[in-house]
Amino acid sequence: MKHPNLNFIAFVLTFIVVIVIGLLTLNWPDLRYARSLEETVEIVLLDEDLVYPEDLVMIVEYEEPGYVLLDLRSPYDYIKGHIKGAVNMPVNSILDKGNIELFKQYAKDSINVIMYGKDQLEANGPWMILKQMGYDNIQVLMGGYHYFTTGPLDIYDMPEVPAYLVEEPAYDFYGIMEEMGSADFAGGTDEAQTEVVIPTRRKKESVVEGGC
Amino acid sequence: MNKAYIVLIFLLILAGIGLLVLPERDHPEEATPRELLSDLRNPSRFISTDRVAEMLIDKDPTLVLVDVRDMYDYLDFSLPGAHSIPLEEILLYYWVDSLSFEKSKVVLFSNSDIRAEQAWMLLQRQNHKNIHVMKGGLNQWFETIIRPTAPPETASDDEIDLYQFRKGASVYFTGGTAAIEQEIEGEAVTVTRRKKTQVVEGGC
Repeated sequence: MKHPNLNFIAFVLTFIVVIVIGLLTLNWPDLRYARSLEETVEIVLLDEDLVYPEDLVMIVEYEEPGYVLLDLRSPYDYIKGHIKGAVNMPVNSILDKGNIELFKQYAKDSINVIMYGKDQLEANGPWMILKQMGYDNIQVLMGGYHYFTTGPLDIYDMPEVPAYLVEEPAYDFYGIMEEMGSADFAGGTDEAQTEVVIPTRRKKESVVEGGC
Repeated sequence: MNKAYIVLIFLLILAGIGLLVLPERDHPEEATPRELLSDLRNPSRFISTDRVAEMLIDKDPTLVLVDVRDMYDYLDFSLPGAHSIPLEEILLYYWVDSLSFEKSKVVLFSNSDIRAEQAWMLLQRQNHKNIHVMKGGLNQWFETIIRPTAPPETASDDEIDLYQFRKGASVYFTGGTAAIEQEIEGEAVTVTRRKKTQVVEGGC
């Protein structure tokens, strides 16, 4: 060994280079959650991000600043009709790079983003995804586009339980069941169910193929 | 022994210690947001009230019904055999066994389908694969199964069949005393034609 030092340095350098390349090429997910599942449950139960249709009427009517309306339906439905001032962003594309940038910009400018689909359900999933990623300024229109275009929006002409409160029981479940004469229906009849696994056996397909 | 090797061994040990110190990823098996979105676009997670009724009547052992409403609603009324797992408890560890049972078909429901879908999203992030949502929830259940509305007389045979099934299911679920008020009049006698079974027989 004439130059032990040089050899040694080359060794260490290649070693470090290999490790650095390994770290750089690690597959980091580009989108990450800012909230744990437990935090998400609490947020979901608060129901704070729901926009009442009659409130949206005012926002649209007076073009209140600080709001952006996002239409999550398909471009086809959007062209057929949409709420005044809404921007189309189909559900499939909400996590595209450009749209994520847009959400970041909205968050920075503290603009409230109100999303709607054809019903509340269509906007619920996207809202939950973005919420879990930490975008707090996103809200959901109750009742969706369908209610906004058909249902009563006048606050003086509103039934006691408006149709957009979909999670309210529409009937007196207990009363109906009692009236129809059922004795045991309540959740109490929770017999310990033994779950039996039935192996499904594939049937043989015997197609007789003729031959010579 | 070569001096370089000793240094390399030392470096490797150092890297190993570094790995030990690195923070543990808390939920390495979680689905990414993108996976969640693609799951969300798959409508097969929804299961109709008719299908649930059918499975209940057939006493399908693989069906696991989960009521995600709170305890009071559950005690007031719930589907037969349903388990009560309120949304705030859905992540608690002791449900995991019954939810991740591979052969079972877990069906979440609430009064409508919003709460049930929220629970579904949470479980989806935990990578459960066999979870479904009852479309329309209990409101839809009462509308279609308990109090089905008769189709117009011009309805197709399929619709009339469906209505007959719902009537039967209604009687089944309410204890068999519900009176059947009106039969559909002039029910068309349909001629069912046997389909020809085409077995291709090879020849020469």
